[in-house]
Amino acid sequence: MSGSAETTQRDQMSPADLKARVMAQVAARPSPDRRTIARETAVLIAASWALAIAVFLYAGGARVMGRPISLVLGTVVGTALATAVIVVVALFRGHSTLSRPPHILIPFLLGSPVAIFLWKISWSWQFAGAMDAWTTRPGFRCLKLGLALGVAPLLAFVVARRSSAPTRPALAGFAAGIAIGCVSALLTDLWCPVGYVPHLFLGHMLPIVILGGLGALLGRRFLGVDPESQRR
Amino acid sequence: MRVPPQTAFAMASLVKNSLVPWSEFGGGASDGRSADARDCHAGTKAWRFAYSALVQPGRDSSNPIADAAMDRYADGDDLAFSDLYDAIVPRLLAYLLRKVRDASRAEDLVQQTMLQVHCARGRFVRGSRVTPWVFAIATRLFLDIARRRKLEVLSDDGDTSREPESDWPCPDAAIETKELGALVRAEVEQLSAPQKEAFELVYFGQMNHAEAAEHLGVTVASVKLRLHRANRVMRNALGESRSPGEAEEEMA
Repeated sequence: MSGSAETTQRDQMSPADLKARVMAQVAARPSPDRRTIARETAVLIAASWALAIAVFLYAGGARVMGRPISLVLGTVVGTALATAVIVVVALFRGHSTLSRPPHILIPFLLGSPVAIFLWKISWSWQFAGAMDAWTTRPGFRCLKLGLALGVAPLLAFVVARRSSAPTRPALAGFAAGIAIGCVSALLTDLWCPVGYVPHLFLGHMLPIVILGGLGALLGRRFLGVDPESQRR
Repeated sequence: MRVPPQTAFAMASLVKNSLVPWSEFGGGASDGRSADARDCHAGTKAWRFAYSALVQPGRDSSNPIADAAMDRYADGDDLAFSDLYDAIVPRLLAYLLRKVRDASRAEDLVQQTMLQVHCARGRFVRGSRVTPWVFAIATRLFLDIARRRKLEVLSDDGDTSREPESDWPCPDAAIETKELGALVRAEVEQLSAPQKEAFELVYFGQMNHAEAAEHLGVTVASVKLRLHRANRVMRNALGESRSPGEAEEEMA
């Protein structure tokens, strides 16, 4: 911004001069209003989830593969409830333009993956053979699917919310990564019949953690306020 | 079993404090219910936590004019920027002057902050408070610039002799010529970082407790606790007879 260099060598401005300078800068740089941003965000998010669903369908979509339908439905409903809560808490900001505070976010971020895992275990426990070991399926395919499902929505979120988190941008990105990871875990549960605990850790839970980490890195870089953007 | 009166009183206080007035949930006082009825329906701390997690409390704003102007501006009314500027910049400048101790640098920060607000107007959440958001942007810019330019910050060198120079109608303008102002500033610098932050936001940024909590990312109770401790330190420094609030009034 040109004003920065100028003001180091000038005397203090009067309030009217300062206002005139700010108004001139604002007038010289158009910015999108709420409606434009909402439209852009909707397009971005819809496109990213369409891509994720396409990946999911390409991988085979929802597969029962001999599982009792009550096992599949019970797992998905429980996971969907926990996912819905974390999506609301992590991706929406409520009645504040600042992201939610750590004392609210962190319990949900830690609790949701644990709740999803415990629900999966406790529900599968009731069905004979549902938690048997599958030595040929250690979980790498689920890991790849989970990451492939989550990357595009996470990138779309970061683009849609760029420069919008002046406080704790890394936490905002981490929260988004965890929430999107939970959605991808839900889809992975629909796709994968394995309920073996080491497989669940590697294939279903690890993508949530990786997406959370990726979200934190992206958030730190792109979600915070960037003074350099004013100069561009 | 007979319960001693002190125990009964303590239990009653505990129960009363665990209930949250409905107004804190954003229900407002216009729902036609009595205060008792509202308390009865208020729920527990767990409910408050769940509610605040999902919805976040609505407006309890110290600057409703700025909130309304920002909402209009975010909706595309370009003329509202002038109203927003008038409503928020005097406070912002007073707060930044406290931080940078240099009028021209504070004005630079105001310019940059308002430009960021302008660029991000489309992402302003309808119905939210603008003050914590603007101050958060200003604080982030201040920290960034301080890091880049190795800006001299008062808290780094403890130098209380340099005074902010400004014609703006801010609390510091009245403080400058008084010994009390220097004493307050010196004592503020002695506060711990969390206490100092809360103190500056509330007394110099003129935020209410809810806004300061939103800005700091902590609970309102935590802000009150920090202020209570800061006030105790200040009271000890200024003399028992005068609270920081009274000192503020005297300085003004």
